[in-house]
Amino acid sequence: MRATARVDRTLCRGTGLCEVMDSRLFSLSDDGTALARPLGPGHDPEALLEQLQDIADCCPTGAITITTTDEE
Amino acid sequence: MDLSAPAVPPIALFSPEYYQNPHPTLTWLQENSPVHEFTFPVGDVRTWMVTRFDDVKTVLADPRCSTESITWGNDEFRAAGLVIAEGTILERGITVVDPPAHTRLRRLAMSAFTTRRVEQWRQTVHDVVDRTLEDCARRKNFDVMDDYAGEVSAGVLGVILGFRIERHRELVTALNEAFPSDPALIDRAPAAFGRICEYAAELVAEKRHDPSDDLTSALIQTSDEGERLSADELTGLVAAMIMGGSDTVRGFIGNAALALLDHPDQSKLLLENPELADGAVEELLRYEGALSTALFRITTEEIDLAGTRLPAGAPIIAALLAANRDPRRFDDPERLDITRSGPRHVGFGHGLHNCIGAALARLEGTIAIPALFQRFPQLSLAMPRDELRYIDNWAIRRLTALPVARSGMSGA
Ligand code: HEM
Ligand code: SF4
Repeated sequence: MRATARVDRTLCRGTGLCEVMDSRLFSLSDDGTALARPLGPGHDPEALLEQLQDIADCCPTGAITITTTDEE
Repeated sequence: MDLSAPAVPPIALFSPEYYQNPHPTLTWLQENSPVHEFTFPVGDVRTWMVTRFDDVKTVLADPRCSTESITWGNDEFRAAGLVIAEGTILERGITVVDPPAHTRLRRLAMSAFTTRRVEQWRQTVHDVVDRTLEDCARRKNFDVMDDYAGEVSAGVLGVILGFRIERHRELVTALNEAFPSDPALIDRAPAAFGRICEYAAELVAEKRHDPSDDLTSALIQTSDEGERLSADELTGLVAAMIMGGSDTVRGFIGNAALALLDHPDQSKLLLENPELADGAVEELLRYEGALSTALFRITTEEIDLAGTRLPAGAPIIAALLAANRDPRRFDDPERLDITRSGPRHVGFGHGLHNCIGAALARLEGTIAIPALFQRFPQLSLAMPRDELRYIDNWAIRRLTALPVARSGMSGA
């Protein structure tokens, strides 16, 4: 399984919460909206999914969506 | 160690004069002492204050600057009684805990603020605003703080949390006592906080028994399906929303009304272009939001902050009001311009603890602020401008009263 996050930049308000919760997975860009960053291999996919889900649930604008695929 | 005289602003922080107009002091600090060490007046605690936009954001985004003062606060800080809500149900509340406890509470709280639910509150806000304006219209003069902003903020919260209507009046009274305008009444605040926690506990018990389509019932249901919060945790969350979502909205509507009364060109612009409401609310939050500062942050280890070394356990105050008027960040920051676009403000905080009620606060602002001027296009101050007073509070920026006449000089 492989989990990826996406930030809807029309919803994001640049609160920086996602970046604070995990700066490996999210970063604020220069225009102040967040970007999801792909993680390289070598991570426990279950733990990663859980972490992404926590962050998406804490985001105040519902801007983060997570998709899972079966590859890898 | 630097033995030169410490930098001290001309008007001392947290002095009576400062509360009436903090801006000159904050500007002075940005220029002369951006990471300002001073003695916090309660308990003489050694404290640091940051005022520049970038530094405020850095502090709020740094996991080594924690709100969990019950864990990280030094002896001096604790002895001064500065640990928020120590000994109450809120001492481990959402605002003052680190992850993973924070994540658990925040996930649940946020789940109740879905776009669908906030949208559903639009009609509620309109109803409460219209009803309150009708009451105001029966009088020649009224007080925007008590008769309008206070009624709207408490009224909306009462409905969306699901309080029985008989409770609404008691809630307004308790909130007035918890956040008094008159410093002489501060003794009553702890009892009022206690009462609010009791109302919250009662509400949680009631909704567990008899759920309905309200925020409290939604919190209970989601909790049961997943995180399984204890009754105390749920009560703490409801109480945090009452405390976090009433006086702030009230203060903000008051500050916004005054800013628009001070800038008739801007209120005219808003009246003629209702579609500007969203941008106007952002600009009004930037210009004079409801919170002067974030909650205390405490360093969990020694840190370097914009060139200054802070020891572990150092209390830091992030001045949101100053950051939002930092000329390094905003062009012509002293100007109110409801058409302003550009950088975001930090009126709702930043990072882990950013406001969970922001969508609701924005909804209330975009409805309640224009509606006041639409209903009373001749609205004017009913008190000399220089006699208006702000409460003596270092974190909350709110007028004690904002008396207005609803129909200019005509005396109708
Ligand atoms: C104009 C109105 C409001 C303003 C200016 C405001 C401002 C803020 C700020 C600056 C913070 C961050 C504090 C810090 O980092 O130390 C915050 C957090 C919070 N606010 Fe608001 N707020 C408003 C309305 C509301 C409403 C309507 C609610 C609830 C229904 C609410 C509930 C909360 C809660 C629970 C937190 C803590 C979040 C956390 O710790 O994760 N606020 N607010
Ligand atoms: S938490 Fe949500 S709103 Fe905040 S920066 Fe991340 S994606 Fe944007």
